[in-house]
Amino acid sequence: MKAKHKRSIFILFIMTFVSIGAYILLTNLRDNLVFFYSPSEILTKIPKADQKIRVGGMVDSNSLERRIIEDSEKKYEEISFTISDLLEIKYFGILPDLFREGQGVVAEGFFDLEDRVFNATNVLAKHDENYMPPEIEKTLDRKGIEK
Amino acid sequence: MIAEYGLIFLILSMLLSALQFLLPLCQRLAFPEGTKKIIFSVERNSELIFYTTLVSYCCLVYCFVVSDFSLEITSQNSNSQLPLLYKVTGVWGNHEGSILLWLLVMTFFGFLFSKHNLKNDLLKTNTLIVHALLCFLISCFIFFTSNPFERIFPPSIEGKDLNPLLQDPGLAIHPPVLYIGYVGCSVVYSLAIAFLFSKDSSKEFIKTLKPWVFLSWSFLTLGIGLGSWWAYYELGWGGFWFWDPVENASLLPWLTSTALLHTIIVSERKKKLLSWSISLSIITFCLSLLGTFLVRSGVLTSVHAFANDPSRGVFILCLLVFISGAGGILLYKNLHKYSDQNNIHLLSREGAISLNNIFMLTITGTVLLGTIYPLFTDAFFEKKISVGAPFFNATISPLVIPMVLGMILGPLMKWGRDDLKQIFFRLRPIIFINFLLMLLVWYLAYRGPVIAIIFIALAIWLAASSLFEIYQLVLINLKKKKSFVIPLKTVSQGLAHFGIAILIIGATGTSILKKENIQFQEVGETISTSGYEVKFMGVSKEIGTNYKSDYAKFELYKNGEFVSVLNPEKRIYNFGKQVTTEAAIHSTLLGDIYISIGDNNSGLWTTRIWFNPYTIWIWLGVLFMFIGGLISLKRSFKELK
Repeated sequence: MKAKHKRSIFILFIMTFVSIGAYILLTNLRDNLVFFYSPSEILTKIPKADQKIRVGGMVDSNSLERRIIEDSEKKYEEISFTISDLLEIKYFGILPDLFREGQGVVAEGFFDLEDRVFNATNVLAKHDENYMPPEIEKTLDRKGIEK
Repeated sequence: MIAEYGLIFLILSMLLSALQFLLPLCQRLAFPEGTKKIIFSVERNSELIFYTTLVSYCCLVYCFVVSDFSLEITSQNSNSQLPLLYKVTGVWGNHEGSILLWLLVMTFFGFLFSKHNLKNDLLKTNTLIVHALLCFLISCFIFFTSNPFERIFPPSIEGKDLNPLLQDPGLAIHPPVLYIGYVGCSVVYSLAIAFLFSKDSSKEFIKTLKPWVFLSWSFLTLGIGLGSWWAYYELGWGGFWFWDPVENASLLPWLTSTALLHTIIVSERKKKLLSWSISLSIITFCLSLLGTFLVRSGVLTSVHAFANDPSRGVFILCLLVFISGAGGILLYKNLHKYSDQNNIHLLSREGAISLNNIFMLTITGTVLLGTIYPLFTDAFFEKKISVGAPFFNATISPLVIPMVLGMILGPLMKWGRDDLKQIFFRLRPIIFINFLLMLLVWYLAYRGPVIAIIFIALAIWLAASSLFEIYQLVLINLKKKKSFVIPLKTVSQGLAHFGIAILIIGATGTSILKKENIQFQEVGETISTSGYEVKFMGVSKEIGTNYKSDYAKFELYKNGEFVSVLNPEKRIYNFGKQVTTEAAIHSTLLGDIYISIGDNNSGLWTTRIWFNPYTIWIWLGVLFMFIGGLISLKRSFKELK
């Protein structure tokens, strides 16, 4: 009887431990998932303003602009470009080495619905000559564009 | 012609490995009651497999060195202007060559294993047979899906150049070192399977397993460290770990082999947890295969994926299912043999080790979940998602705290059963009080994020207790034997734990306490950060062996005194026109000044200046762990002889 009692307490203890762990893990996972949108999806399935998302597409040629913005302390460079089809992306910082117009790019950040601008916190470009991020490949496949 | 020789020798090695597991199998099927002795020498054959693979590999190296661009692999990954070092390292800077390197290391380990002098002949023969089966599968993979000796027609006149990011000494040695670690796991796997087949006592099995676990663990540690170091200075992003799928893939087998490292000590001393050790041996190799699958198949968005091909992914996936399935079924069928009384008291050395094992496995599960979760949602819900670094940081850092506590308390406990009072007595109250005091002082003086303070305080405590442990043992030895003999086992454990401690300090500094400044800087302008002043002196054009670069010059001052000149670069390579950022780093024990430059806009440059506290401790920590592992390796090899 006593051994049985002991064992059930032990099992109860393990169960609580595991379920707390699973709860922490899953809520954390839910909060930190970053969904991928294509530029057209972003206007139909509008993400919340505080939800971090990724968008991907081809950088339109001749759309890259750099402006210098000055605040009281420092100067910043604001970079903006559009990806197909015409989603404007704004970014402060250094673009990745492989960023080129006419090539695939994935931007991570927040969508501003009022200005219809995507404020990127991070811009990822493909990593070598032959590599295309699978998300972009799929978006292009869906549209039937030749790669 | 050399390339054809290479292919012939590859096929030869494939056939020889097939022979090694098919012949004994046929023999056993034909004479089930017959002698256990196998007709031909498995040892000799293992040697032959290694030599044929070596010749094949040398042929490939030769093709790279003489710039034979009629091969697809050389024309894609090499160039006649490339320095000789990168021509040679270019061999493994691509998928086909790196898998051939994998096979080479694997056959070499088979060769090394055949030189072991085991009392138990059957265990040795069985291990070599299982290992030959693995070699055979890998060589099939090379031959059917990624043949490095593929010719192209018409031959190229000039190669496309090695990816410039890979033209770097850090990355030149990173893959071979990591592969020694990965492939070491394959021997561990073969041994575990062979042991499941044999009906012998565990003593010799554990003894033989130990050096291989230490070998693969040490080299995995060093390999991951080198990769992280490379990412730190070469990618120019200012961090050392990005929770990228490729990085996670190498971390997973490391975590389980760390767990294995600890359980085999329990299995050896107390004859407990044996089935657990066997499971971990199997899991570790499966995870290193899973890592290869994730990296090679291109199923995941990774910042450093190679160009890839789906058929390879399918092949590796089948291999993974076969290897894990076979291991799992065998283990399940034989489990009853090892179900001895596994009573482990929580308050004992083996209890602490088991607890740490649970935490290790939880971390493994978490990392695995975060890495493959995007695959599931994509396959089942058609949703593209990615799991970001915040997930890993938030779930793993709370697990690190009890683990470090376990590492502090564990070595203090006795084997078998310990007493709570005695543990407290041995806890060396001074250190505990110091720990609390330090927390207070740090908080008052510094006021950083609390989590960072806790991590650093814990790490310092761990470092102190590991050093104290070594000191104490030396002292005891000195009294007993009156000679200065350092007990190797505890020294290696102390060193490795000390390495973890300073690694935690470095990682905390670099990830939580770092300061980033991004700005537009004029020539002559000075930026101050963390006690340093960084003066921008301008950018000049330089020409390197196979690239042109924008060569920036920064002068670094500390409190008005000149410290050094830093030269971050932006390189454009002649072939492929790829651009790379070369960061410039000034390292001190207290932190790194890390500068990278961006684009030029009407005479102004975007510059990124980081102050990364204690980053150098990460690399020192890895080095300490590696040295600790090597000491254990040496000792366990000696024991075997």
